[in-house]
Amino acid sequence: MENRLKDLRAERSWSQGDLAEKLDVSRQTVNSLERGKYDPSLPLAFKIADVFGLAIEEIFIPEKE
Amino acid sequence: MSERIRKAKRRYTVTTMSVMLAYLAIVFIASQLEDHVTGTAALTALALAPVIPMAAACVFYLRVHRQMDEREQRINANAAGAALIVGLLTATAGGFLQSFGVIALEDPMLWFGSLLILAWGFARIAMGGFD
Amino acid sequence: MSERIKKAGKRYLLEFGGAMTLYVVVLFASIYAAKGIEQGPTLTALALAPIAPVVLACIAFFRFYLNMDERERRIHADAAAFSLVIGIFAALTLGFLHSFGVFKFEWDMLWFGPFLIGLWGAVRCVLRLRD
Repeated sequence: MENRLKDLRAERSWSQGDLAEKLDVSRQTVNSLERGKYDPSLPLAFKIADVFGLAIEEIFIPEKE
Repeated sequence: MSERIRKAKRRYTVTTMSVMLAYLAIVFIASQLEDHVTGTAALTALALAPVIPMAAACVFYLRVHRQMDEREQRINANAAGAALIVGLLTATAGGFLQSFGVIALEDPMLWFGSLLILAWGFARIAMGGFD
Repeated sequence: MSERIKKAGKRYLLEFGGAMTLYVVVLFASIYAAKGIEQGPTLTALALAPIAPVVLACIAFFRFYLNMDERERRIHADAAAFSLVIGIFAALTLGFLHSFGVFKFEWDMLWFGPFLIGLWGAVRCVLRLRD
């Protein structure tokens, strides 16, 4: 799923490792999330939204069917 | 249940049943022909005949796994992990009992393959219930 | 990587390494102690003794699995599903080749456990590369 994670992370000058620490996941997971290769679970999606102070739909862009 | 998933489940049931029947038929025929066949090549062909429906079942399962909804994928995958651990412990225990001369198994791998399938089935039911 | 996950990984390496070391020690001790022992409960106990450290290794892995992040757990579980399908296929193929007298591998049960685990590792690598 497309998302704005990379841009949002860059705005805050966080490395992937920094974001991984905040989300309690591995750096590889952050990398996969940013490249749209991995879709987070609902709890992780809420955690991501909480970390960035945004709503989930402001971060993740669902695929149009 | 979505129509897509309902159709996929129906297709899965029909294909699985067909593959199982083909497998049983081929095993029966091959075992009947075994005593009438000589030569390594012919015996190898008979031994590997049941592999054809098995290979079809494996390929089919891998396709079906992708079509399952995410909950079912999780249940199947986690159950497979549990079955792998059961398989590891059973194979190791059986192997040691055999190599220490405590037991003498006739066709251990045939039983072991069936055990893995059963273990996976039980684990799936334990983790996800009946569908 | 989160500190918690790093710590869990280090603990896993220690626990798993310890279990495997214990396995080697117990295995050699069992083989030595089993010399000249007749069939019976003592021989059975000696044959099964190396399983105990294998169980400890499985527990260590399970604790590590619970501490993995969700993506790693998913990779492990999906890899388990694919590996189990291949493992079942391999077991039944070997079983048929054995029962038709085409191919006999004496230690197949003993080596099948490590084969399954190795296969699981290889499939995990493939799934990670695709990510």
